[in-house]
Amino acid sequence: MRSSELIRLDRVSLTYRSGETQFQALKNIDLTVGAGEHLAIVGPSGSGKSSLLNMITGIDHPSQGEVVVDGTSIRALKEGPLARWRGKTVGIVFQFFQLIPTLTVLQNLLLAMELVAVVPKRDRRPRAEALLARVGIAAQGGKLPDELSGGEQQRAAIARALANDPPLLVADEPTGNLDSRNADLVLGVLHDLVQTGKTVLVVTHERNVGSLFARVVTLRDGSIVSDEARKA
Amino acid sequence: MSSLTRKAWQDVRAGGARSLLVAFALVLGLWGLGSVLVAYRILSHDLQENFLRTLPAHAVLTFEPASPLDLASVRSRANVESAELRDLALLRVEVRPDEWIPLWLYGVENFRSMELARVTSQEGAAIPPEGAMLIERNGRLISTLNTGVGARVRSQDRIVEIPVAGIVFDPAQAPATQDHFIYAYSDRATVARVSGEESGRRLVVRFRDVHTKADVERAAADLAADLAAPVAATGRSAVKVTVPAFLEHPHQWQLDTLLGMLGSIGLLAFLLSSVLVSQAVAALLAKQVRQIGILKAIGASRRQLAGIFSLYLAFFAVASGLVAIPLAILTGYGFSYFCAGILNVEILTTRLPGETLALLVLAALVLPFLFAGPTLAKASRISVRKALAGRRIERRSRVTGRTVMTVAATAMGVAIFSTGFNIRQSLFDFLATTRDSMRYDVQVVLAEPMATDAFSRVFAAVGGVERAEMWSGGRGVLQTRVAGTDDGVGIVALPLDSEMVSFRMRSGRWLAPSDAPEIVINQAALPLFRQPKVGQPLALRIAGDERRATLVGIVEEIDLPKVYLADTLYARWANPSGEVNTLLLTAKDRSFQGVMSLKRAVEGAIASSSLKVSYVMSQAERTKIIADHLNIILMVLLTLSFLVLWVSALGMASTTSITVLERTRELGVLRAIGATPERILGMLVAEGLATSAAGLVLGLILSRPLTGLAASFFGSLMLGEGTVLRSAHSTTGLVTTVAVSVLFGYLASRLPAAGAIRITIRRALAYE
Repeated sequence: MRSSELIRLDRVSLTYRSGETQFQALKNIDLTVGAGEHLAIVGPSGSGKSSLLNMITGIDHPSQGEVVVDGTSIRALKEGPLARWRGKTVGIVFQFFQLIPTLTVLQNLLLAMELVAVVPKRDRRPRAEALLARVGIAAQGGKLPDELSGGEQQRAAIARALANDPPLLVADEPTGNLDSRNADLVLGVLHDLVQTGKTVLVVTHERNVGSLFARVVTLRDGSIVSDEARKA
Repeated sequence: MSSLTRKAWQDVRAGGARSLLVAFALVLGLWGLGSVLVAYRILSHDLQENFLRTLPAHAVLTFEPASPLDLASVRSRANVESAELRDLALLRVEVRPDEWIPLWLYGVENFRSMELARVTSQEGAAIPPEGAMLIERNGRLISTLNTGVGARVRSQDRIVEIPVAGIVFDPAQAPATQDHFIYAYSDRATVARVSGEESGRRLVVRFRDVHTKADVERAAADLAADLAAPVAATGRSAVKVTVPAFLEHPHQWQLDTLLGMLGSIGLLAFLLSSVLVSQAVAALLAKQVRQIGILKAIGASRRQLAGIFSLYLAFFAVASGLVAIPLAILTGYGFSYFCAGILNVEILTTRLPGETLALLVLAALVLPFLFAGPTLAKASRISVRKALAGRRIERRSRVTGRTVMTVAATAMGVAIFSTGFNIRQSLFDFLATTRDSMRYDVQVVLAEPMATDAFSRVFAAVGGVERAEMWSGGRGVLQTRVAGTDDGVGIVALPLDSEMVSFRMRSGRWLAPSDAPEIVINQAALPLFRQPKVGQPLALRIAGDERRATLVGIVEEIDLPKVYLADTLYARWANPSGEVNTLLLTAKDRSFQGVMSLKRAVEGAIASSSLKVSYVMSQAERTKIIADHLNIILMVLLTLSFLVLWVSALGMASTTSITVLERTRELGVLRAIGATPERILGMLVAEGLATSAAGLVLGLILSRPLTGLAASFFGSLMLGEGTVLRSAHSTTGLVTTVAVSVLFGYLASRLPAAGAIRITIRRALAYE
């Protein structure tokens, strides 16, 4: 059973133009995701997964259709409010971690909190340390990202995504750059988050990874070709 | 420290060499701008202040001998602020064995209470004992005169020794080093005794409520008319009025030129620096684009990004300010002291005023935002998707833009450097023309005209003379006092078949036999005659009578306003007895030694005569005086031009470094597929040289119109309004410019290229 709606995409299309050439990355996508769902979006390379994720995070806007996340129609937001909304509502985990290389892991988390300012100042450092402990890298807080392994960097990125306690966490190919041991660790962390009530949406091209999720949406050539519930 | 501040600081640190480049470029711009600000503040204020502190006379009134003067009544006039009798005797002084130059000996009414045209004691006696004199300090630089020395002074037909009792400072005088005069001060009785001239004939006055030269002229004319009334019945012109430029140092033009050059160079340094900073910041941001995407993705608004970048720039602002402001103060003061030495003034600004310092600090804080702000604003506008995709900010146009900027900066440097040489050549040409226009070697100038026979008899025994001529009037300020119009334009009356002159004509022709009166003027006289055209009749007031003559030509020369006319015409107008005051001699041996030998022989003849000689001067010395006036400007011009080329080369080196850094991965790929380090080095150096060559060609093309503009600017500034130096093209300059540009171009690409091939292929391939 799906709980209350957190994400809704109505007839979303996205067309990229490059000179005379047009490329339709998404075609009339209708998708609803409930709060607390553990969802995988799978599909081969170029199927439109990342574009779909960009629609949901407000990183990109649809050419047609509407995207509503946590009750907010994203298209209506201007850049400043959109950034603030994103900081509060969506935690993003990237394939290549995308930590700020000049700051320590702990400072990366503190920066995210300072930008959004929903966590009171005095609570930020304990919260950051707790999050690092939660993803199993408490001892690495004082290190620069370059000094961590790929799996540790990705876990740090997850911790950063959770810094402002957003209801939605999206991950774009979070294991794409990791070995199988680290990939399992990261997926484990993401899976545990569902137990805390977070909505977790993961984009991946690995179908076997998709099997670990409660719901799997398959994309091909910009369209949803299947939307399956896998397990309770 | 907040996370935002920490990030900004860490970005500065992580920028490494690129951050240093930004800081360097900022230092360069701020240094250039700051030096100009500091020097401008000091010089513009201090030269004027030096001058004004002497309470310079607004006007000088000279009386016929034995004219009655009631000084008390002059002082009691409502519009007279102060008035003094300040005698002036034009004598000659021996500055080295057998080397005599003009001595302007002032007779001071009361050294204790000089109410105007004041001098300041710097050494020895403040008040000279009777029979002694004080020397203006700048005179020591061109003579062996000093406190305690007995100066040999020639007055008319005798030589007297006057002890030098002390040194004074008189910043209102033109520097002795440039004009080759010695200024001295004594009591009026001593001056009268030494010169044999009547005391009390020269009145210096300051008026109240005068704001322009015209105000002074009106007030002085009124005063002169009142003072002339008692002697009007005698029919003599009782009072001659001289009004100098209103409250302006005699060599203000030199300072204006120097400040003009300084300002131009400062502006160029500023422009080059702005190019450099914006390029370097753009290069720094190339690495930051993905981070901008991340920050936006985790909730950073544009305002917050602006905050981070503001902090980022603030670090640069503070760092560059800390380095550049002291440097700017140092160089600004250095330049000011240099100019002060040339102009014989003192630097009075011992502490920079608060507003100047505030301006420097403000410049330090504002410059980075001014230079880099647009690039940062552009960067913060990039969309999250593009930023996360690692797309650089309009990469292709930026690289093209940077190449264009580099070529433009190099062209600017080359154009200025080349123009510097061309202007130098123009001035040399002008100097050569001036030298060639007077084809004599030695001239003897008398304080008073005398009969030609008596004059030439004195030198009859002097050997080594090829040709001799005698004129009324001649070049220089002293000549105007002997032969001049009533309103102070010097007259030079010479034989029509004179072989001693050959001017370059600015327009019209030289004097020729004619039934109608004809005159030629020099370009300095143009404004006084309201820019007349050749063929126009001009009115001259000579010895109280108005004379009319047709202007047939305008000549180029560096001198005071002069009118040239036939000696026969001058005899008809004002010199019925045909007296002359200038003897011009051409030596048989025209080498420097030959001319000096002739000059010594002339001095020997004068020593045993009763001639009242103003001065004896060789053309070689005359040329040296003019060259001394221009030399400092030429030197500064070339130095500053070189500086611009240097700065543009640094700019090129910096932008090349950035480009090479950005191509690190590309170079890694090339090496991975077999390119040798030498090949890559050659490729990068060739690219650098190509850019340099483009800049060189463009710069040389640009230098042509720029030379024309500069010739007009410097001509007007140094030689008078509307005077254009002839554009010249210096071959030395061209060769030097090409050589220096190619060398700089090579170094500017060779050094960063060498750095690029030092890193390993693995690191190069991983470079982001």
